[in-house]
Amino acid sequence: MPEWFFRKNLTGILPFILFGFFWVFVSSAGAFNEAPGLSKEVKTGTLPPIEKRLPPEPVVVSPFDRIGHYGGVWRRAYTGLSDLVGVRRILYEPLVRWNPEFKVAPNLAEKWEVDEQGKLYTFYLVKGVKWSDGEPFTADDILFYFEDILFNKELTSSIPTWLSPDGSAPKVTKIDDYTFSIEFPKPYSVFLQELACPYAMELVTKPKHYLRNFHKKYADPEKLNQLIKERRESSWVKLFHDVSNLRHAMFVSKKYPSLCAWITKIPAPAKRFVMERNPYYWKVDPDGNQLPYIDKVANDLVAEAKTIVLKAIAGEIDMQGRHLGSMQNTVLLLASVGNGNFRLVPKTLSASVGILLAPNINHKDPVMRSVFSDRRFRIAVSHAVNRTEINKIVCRGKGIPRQAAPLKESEFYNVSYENAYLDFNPDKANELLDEMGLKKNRAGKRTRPDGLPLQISLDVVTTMPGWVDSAEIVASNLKQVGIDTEVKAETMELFRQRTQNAVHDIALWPGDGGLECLLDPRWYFPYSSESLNAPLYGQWFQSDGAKGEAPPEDIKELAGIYDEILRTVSKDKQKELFEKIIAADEKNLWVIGLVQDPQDYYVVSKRMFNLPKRDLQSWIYPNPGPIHPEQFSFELKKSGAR
Amino acid sequence: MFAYIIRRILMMIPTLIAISIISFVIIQLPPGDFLTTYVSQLSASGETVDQAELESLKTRFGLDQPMYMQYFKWAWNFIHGDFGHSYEWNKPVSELIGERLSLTIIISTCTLLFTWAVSVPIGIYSAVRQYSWLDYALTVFGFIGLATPNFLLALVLLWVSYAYLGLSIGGLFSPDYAEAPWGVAKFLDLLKHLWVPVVIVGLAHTAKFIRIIRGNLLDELRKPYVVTARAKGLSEIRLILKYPVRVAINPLVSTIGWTIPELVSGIAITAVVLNLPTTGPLLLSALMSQDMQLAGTFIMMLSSLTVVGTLISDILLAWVDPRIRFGAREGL
Repeated sequence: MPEWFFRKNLTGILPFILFGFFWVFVSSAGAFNEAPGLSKEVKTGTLPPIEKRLPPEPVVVSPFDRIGHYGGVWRRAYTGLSDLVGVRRILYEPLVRWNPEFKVAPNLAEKWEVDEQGKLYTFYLVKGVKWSDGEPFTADDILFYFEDILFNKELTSSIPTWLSPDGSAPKVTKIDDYTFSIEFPKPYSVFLQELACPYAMELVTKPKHYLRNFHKKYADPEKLNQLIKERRESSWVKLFHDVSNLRHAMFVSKKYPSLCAWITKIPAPAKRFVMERNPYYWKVDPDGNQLPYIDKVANDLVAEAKTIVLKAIAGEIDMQGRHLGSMQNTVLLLASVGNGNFRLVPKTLSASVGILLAPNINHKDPVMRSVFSDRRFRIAVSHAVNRTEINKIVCRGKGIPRQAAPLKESEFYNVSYENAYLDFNPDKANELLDEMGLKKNRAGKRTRPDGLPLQISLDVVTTMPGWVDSAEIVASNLKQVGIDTEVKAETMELFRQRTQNAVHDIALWPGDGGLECLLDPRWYFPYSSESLNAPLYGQWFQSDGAKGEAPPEDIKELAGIYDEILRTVSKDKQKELFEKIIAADEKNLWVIGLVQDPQDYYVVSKRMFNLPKRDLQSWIYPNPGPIHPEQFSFELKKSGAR
Repeated sequence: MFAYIIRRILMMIPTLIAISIISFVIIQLPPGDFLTTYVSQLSASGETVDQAELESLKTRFGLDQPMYMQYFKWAWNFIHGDFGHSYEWNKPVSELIGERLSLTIIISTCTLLFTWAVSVPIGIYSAVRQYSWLDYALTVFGFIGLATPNFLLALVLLWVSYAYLGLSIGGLFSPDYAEAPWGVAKFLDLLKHLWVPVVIVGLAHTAKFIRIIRGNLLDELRKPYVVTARAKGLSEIRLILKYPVRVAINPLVSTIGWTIPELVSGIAITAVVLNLPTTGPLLLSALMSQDMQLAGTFIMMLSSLTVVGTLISDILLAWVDPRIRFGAREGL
């Protein structure tokens, strides 16, 4: 207690006490507003009054521009059940979240504590949050996820890597209804960042009171059997997975309780999949208005993603980024923005480069493997490609030629790696290739060390328009230095099959992880099977040596450094360690970056406000989730907001 | 005739079984399975799937079983009226196909009627008034209809209906009616949108039919029985409609067997462009994502339509063309 409290007499502080009471009174009773549509339901008694629905101290979200208006339908489009990723990006309510600066911020956990070693994490939940059916959300729901789903051998065969950084499960303890702790056997420094990623919503999308009806441990066996029969499932495990699937459970069932701003009204995959406001949503604006402002989110089903571009131009999309990216669409949207009723909000892509070349050092052919494993070859390729030409033709000159290095916005930015071997220099490329012993024959084509002609194919996916164009330019560049190159444009399925089995020569893929370097280091060392330059090493790391192929010592060392980063709490030390990885990348150039893509855009209705000037584009930062879609709002209009 | 129909129906059974096996095998031919597609779709949007999750999905979908087991399981259920479960849509196939099939049939029937209503009179006219200026004009018009790809026409009409008629982009309903229960208002809304695909798909067939009728009728008009009838003083209209037209129309009737599935699947591309909630786009996406049970059921339905259509056309033909009717009777 401060000293002045004891010194002054009671009358001196009385005004303060009164004011304090008044403030509590305002914030706890009668000060909250709700959407007009809900007050009718409250009057008829189908819904408890707002004070009973909101937490005593609801989370306050400050709007970007100003306080919004209730009402309106947010129109979007999707291509089917597998496209619900788009909706998941809007309904982003993890335990802790990314803020618009891509830093971890509180969400369902209002605060947390980490012990000095970085092993024990204690989370304090916002008190009084309710699921969309009115049941309280407590630490029990989190424990249900860990103990009854994750640690249940029948339901989960192995714990996801992000929850078991060294292969062993964390210890989860309930302290009270709103407090729990997670303890890892070893220090785990990026856990909070991982928790903010969209897949971490697993923790807070498993309502115990609802899912217990489908869980063998809790459910009445007879009822459970009946449910299995009704849904034509073959076992309770299948039934449970089907009911609780993170990717679509919330969207295909009207009954599934949720903590998000909107809940399913007409389930997907309907022709018009509609979500409406969650009456129990636990966030308000500074004036005490319960969020979200927008009544409904309606998603029209379209057969072809191109139709979405058409709809956007026709003004039938209110706010969407999905399927509207890529250079071609950007040009179209920019051209029609003048006479449309939409504006464009730019997004910075989090990929280091739009496309990179990943020479396969796991190649089945030992000679090709030795060629790709020679760093001189990769450096020669980097000097042989004409990035200016690619930038001009594919990105209309708006891109930035660079290596697949961390982006400027990242804390791990490194100028020298960004610019390594960037210059277009065929002479130098020829020199390096000659030095390797890849001789030119009479026709000017190079031969492999064993005398066979050197032929390389570039595997590229056809879905994205600019990718094949980039590949063609690279192929013609490589032909000029004597490498016989052909482009293999294939469907995503075939591409995946080939790259996962490491039968490709050089694969092309975007440089994911330009910003979120620690969370997705696939291009800095063969971290996962998505590291297309060494998918078999990636599998080996992921499976702890059970699958794939053991990498050489220098690559194992990189994985060791990464492991150390995960166990290092100090940011400076992390940076120092990561710099070692970057230095190795710069020296070896495992993957060859081409050009950073120019920015993408959201299409936003001119009537919608509370949007930031720009956003980031990434999956790990599931835009637009972090910019709080619940505070988006429509201008009031006589003609009626649709 | 009756025995003939029975025999034809019995013949349909092995045909359909063969079709089902072939189509199931063909769908399996491309590399990978539904999961490969699923995972690559996820990876395209930045998401990654754990190896362990993949394995459990595989067993859940039954994709770890050999192909013949998957086939038998599907075929067995199919006979019992259970068309299986779509992986991609996470719904029973029957539920997915139901409404789409009925909408498709509405569009196909309207298209067929539209085609006939336009092509039969025009065909007759250009045969009777051969080489008149209107014959030339209609011929040119018909060829344009035949030569223009459906999707292009669809794009043009899509733009016209958006820019000038204020209709929503694509679809058979306005957004407000898309999920509404059926009623008068919804039906009227359907009619408002229906003409676009009907005209697009219809036009291509119209040109073909005009040429067929014109050619056949020209052949018939020169035959002695026409000359005789005319000499006997039969009025021109009755004369033409009663005999030569019945013969000339023969190819239209005999191709119903192919026309029905052609209309059902032929509107696929148009439907993708126009974003119609019909079977075409669903079949396309099912094939692309290797959603076996959905694609298999579709192909079975289309095949059955062909087989049934051929039967209908044979029966109709016998009814329309006396020569075939008598031929059948002699055969028995």
